[in-house]
Amino acid sequence: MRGYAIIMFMFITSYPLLAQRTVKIEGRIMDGKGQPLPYANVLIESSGIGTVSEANGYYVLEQVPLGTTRVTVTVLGFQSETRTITVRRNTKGFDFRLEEGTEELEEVVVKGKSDTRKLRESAQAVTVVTTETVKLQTADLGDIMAKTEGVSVQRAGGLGSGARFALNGLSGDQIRFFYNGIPLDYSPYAFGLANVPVNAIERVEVYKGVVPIQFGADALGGAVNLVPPQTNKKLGGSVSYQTGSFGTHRATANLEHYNEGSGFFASLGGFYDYTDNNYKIDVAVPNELGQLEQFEVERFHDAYRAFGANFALGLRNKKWAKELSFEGYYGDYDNELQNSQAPGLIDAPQLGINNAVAGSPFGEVVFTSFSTGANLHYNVNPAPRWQIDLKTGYNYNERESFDVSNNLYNWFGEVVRVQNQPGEFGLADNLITKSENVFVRQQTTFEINERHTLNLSLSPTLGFRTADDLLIDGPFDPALDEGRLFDFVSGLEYRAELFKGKLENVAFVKNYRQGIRIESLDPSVDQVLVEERSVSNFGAGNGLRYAWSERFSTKLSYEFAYRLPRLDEIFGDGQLIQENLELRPENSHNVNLQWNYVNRETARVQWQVQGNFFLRRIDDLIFLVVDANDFGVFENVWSATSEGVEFSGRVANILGGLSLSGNVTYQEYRNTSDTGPFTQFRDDRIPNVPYFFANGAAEYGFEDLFKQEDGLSLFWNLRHVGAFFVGWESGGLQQFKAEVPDQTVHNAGITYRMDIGKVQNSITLEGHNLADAKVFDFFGVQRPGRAVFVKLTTQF
Amino acid sequence: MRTIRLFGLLLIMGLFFTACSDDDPDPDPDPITQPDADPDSDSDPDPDTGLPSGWLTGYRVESPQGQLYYMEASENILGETNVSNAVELGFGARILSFGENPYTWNDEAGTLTKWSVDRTTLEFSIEGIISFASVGISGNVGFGTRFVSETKAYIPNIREGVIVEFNPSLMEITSVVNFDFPFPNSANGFYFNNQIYVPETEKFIFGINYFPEVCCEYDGPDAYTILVFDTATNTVEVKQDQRLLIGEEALIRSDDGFIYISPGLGQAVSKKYLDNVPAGPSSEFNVLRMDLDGNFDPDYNLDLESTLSKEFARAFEIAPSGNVRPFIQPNSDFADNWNDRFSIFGDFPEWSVVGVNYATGAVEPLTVFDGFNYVTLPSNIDGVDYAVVGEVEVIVDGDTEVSREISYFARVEDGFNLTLLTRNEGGTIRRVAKLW
Repeated sequence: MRGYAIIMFMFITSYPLLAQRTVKIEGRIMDGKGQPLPYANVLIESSGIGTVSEANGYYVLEQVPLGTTRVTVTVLGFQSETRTITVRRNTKGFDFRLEEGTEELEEVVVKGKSDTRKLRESAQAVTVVTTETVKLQTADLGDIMAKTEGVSVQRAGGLGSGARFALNGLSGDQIRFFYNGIPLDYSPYAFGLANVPVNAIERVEVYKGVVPIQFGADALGGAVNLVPPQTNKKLGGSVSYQTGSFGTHRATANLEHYNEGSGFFASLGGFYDYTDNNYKIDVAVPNELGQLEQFEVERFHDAYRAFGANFALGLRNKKWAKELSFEGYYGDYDNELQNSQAPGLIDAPQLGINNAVAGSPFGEVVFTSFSTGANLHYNVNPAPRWQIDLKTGYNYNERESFDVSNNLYNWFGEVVRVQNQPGEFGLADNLITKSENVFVRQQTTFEINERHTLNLSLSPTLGFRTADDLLIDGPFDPALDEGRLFDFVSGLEYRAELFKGKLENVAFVKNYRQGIRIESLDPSVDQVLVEERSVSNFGAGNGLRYAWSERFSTKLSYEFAYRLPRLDEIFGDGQLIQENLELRPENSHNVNLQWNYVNRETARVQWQVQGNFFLRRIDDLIFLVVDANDFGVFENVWSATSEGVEFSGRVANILGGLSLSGNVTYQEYRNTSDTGPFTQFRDDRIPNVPYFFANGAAEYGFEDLFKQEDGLSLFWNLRHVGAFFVGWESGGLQQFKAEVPDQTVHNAGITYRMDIGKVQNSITLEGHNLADAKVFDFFGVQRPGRAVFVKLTTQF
Repeated sequence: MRTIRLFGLLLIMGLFFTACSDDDPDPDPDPITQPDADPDSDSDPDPDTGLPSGWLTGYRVESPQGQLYYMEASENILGETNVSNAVELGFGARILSFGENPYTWNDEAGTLTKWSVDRTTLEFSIEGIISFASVGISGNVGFGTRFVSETKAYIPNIREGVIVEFNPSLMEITSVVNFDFPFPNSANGFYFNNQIYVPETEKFIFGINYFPEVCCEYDGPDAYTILVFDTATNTVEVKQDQRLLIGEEALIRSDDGFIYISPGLGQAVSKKYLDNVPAGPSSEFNVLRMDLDGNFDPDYNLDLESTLSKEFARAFEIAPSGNVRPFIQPNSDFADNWNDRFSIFGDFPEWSVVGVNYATGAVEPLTVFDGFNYVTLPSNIDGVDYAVVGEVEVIVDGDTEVSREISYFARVEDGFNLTLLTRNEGGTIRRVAKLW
């Protein structure tokens, strides 16, 4: 422990601080009428520094050298403007007004790009989802992510419910989630990706199978990074409030301040979510004779409440630091649970029961959790061509399960029996699990020259886990066993741009080190038993992007990735699950071949199509092998291959303000085990995983509808998921096989936007599941039907 | 996890047997024959009609999400299961049968589904569903269902204090008998039960057992306890015998007209590790017996500890007939540490199997079970004894070991000789029954 602390201390304190001679400038790009122009390219020709204006026309150029320079602004449909400016220490920024162009502009080599565009055009196998538009709408992040090609999000209900996020077939621990580059669990949003407030996020980066070294994670099948907004305004912020069906209330607020002169910035944010989730589902309720009758009932014990707050203080653009910041956060949630993810669906039309839940509901099962912590971020250019980025933090979180009721409920919310045995989900349970984590994410970047960069990433994480079974009196509680987990993922990356930037190549190696120690008190001998294990594995990968032209590019990426075993997988549970100290990490060869084609940037109708072929060859998959005596052990027993294609496209500015987009994913995720318990199902699809899904969207926008600074947009979204089997596809007669049926869900709404000065306001009215389709993501777990929501958003 | 552990332990009580030592001398040549090349010999046509027989085979296989259950119908005893020709029952199921009808229990739904099988096409169809969810019967309790006649059947949840009578012809609940479970909730362990139905007396006998989960205070029963449920009067009577504390998972009826119970794992674990275990005769390893009304025989007990020189051994039932019962006994003792208490089960250790004559106490070695990891589900069909045996196939590839379960439905002849009939890969055979 002491050694780890020293290592972390060295990371934090060992950076030289050097001066800088740059400032930040900002401003707005507008048309002749003063309307903001988004997506304008703003470029300082001498340095290549550039950016793209946001939706409100606002732009920020970082690290602009002092002195006289020329700035060029170009935007489609307008005459470009080049202005000579003198940048002084106290320079704040410049606004530009562009006149409409009557002739098609020449193509412009765009050197300044937003972070989103840089990422999309990098060699990374990444899909970037921006929330600029969707944050005005009412869908939650789970639904938004489900619209992304290659992504499947299976929900166990409405807001707050559990979700299984799958990326190209892989799911669970095989996918890692991050909030601004650090694990999502170490944030105020530790309650699952789907429940993170959309308005707290600026964009979502989905890394498919090939994960950059800076995340420092054993992500077998990819990673998802939620990026919060960063303001450069003197005073900015946003407030949103959403309400609607099922007693739903969602609110977010944040306030930001940045003083350009001093570099001081501060932000304060928070969120509050509540829903009764009392949507209607079909159930089969027995009469006194035990015969089932079907009813439609409202759920009565599925409420979800979450709130959280975070703050940040820091300095930017100082001589000794590009950024030094400190942030703290707290998140808390309570979640009622009315049924398991296998609630006993009955489908017997001949008896009048059509896909209705027959198992008893839970009336008092509750899960609670909170997560709190603090992070320190330091970014500096210690010397020319060197950059160091350091994030370190501490997190503490607790989760409690509470299932001690003796009451047996029916689906009408009535107690029908007081049972001898407490516990609705199973046997009575009241367990608190506690986790403390200290982490460092440190990157050192050396720019060999303009085209070649080296990056070293070191990511140690030290975690302590214990628990307390509150139903056990006395000191001899097996849950009190203490586990210590030390993961150290390091990586070295070489990035090169060749052929005038047409080719970008990123090659990297990673090392995964894991040390685990578990201490358990043996009450029979009053002795502490210690077990330890440590492993080290190497992985590697490469990403290659080649721009065949300005409009057509391809990417080829590969990674040999690992997923390290969890503590419980190695050491078992001290009861029926035996330890397996020989358990190896799961590994996968991940390949992506992507292509992207866009039409001319100067064309009035903008369109883009892209595709991806992916391949995952996964081996040593871990499975709990349970023998006939119900003794289990986690073993590396199976292998699988996931391969598939994704296509997506979008077209904008047709028929005036109409935009269309869509994507489709087809994947073959199949068992390839030649040994082990799944051998007889070789080549079968992996059960209970969707393999065909598609999304479509349309939006029509009206500008200057009632006044100059307003707009109205009508939008429609469609999601379709093809039917898939719960069990092995080759097992069982078709007419009796459990199947999650085809589902098609339509959402539609209208958003009215109106700017009052610099304050942007919007109101959205949106209907979800307009056709009131009976939708299942998990077999037997019915999702909400038709619903209506209203959302108010203010940004300034 | 707690739930999984506890249900798992309950299941342990229902199934356990591991192979005996390879080092032991082999006094008896291997009497096991490989899968029967002609299983039709067990599947003779109906002597009255001359029509082919109909068989039901239920089994489970593994999937990444858990164990999936299937059942299939066939004219003959299957040589090998064919999952593509089976009805998928999902996770958490039990497969039962009575007469020509298969019945399947759904753990989560708390429902029993009655099926019919077409004699010509062997196609399955649902005849009815009955739910017990609102009367306190759901979860992994379907195994206790007992069909007494075409119109009378029972399903108990003893720990919950409820026994439900239902009419399987109409698929309707007939009556619900509630009673007080005789023991309070345990903080450190849990109660489970086994059962036997005695047609002659129309009584159920439920053995009440206990297993400690938390060290180190015993809070189980102070004597071995049975509940006798008289179906004629719908009454429940509690009976105890102080010569035993916690019983085995199986109440075994023998040819001599008695029902035997041997000491259970819960007693061995409690005695080894816990404080305040009742002292005296109840803590000894005695086999007891009772008559068909559930009256303990005061003149009989078999001291297993002196008979087998072990502090723990378990009986299992290979066939319903005969008085000699196989016992498994570990070659090692329990570990001193509570945390290692299951190490004697770990990683397929070597065990010894012996036959114990309940009546005389005579002990004889048995090697017929070499190579198998369990024996379960004894049955007698048309006067022939059957059981399910299983083994674990281990593939070694370098330093990697990958295992999978192979399960067999076997004919039991001459007491213990096995002829393997039906083979199922990747999971346990859970039911084989003759429908017609």
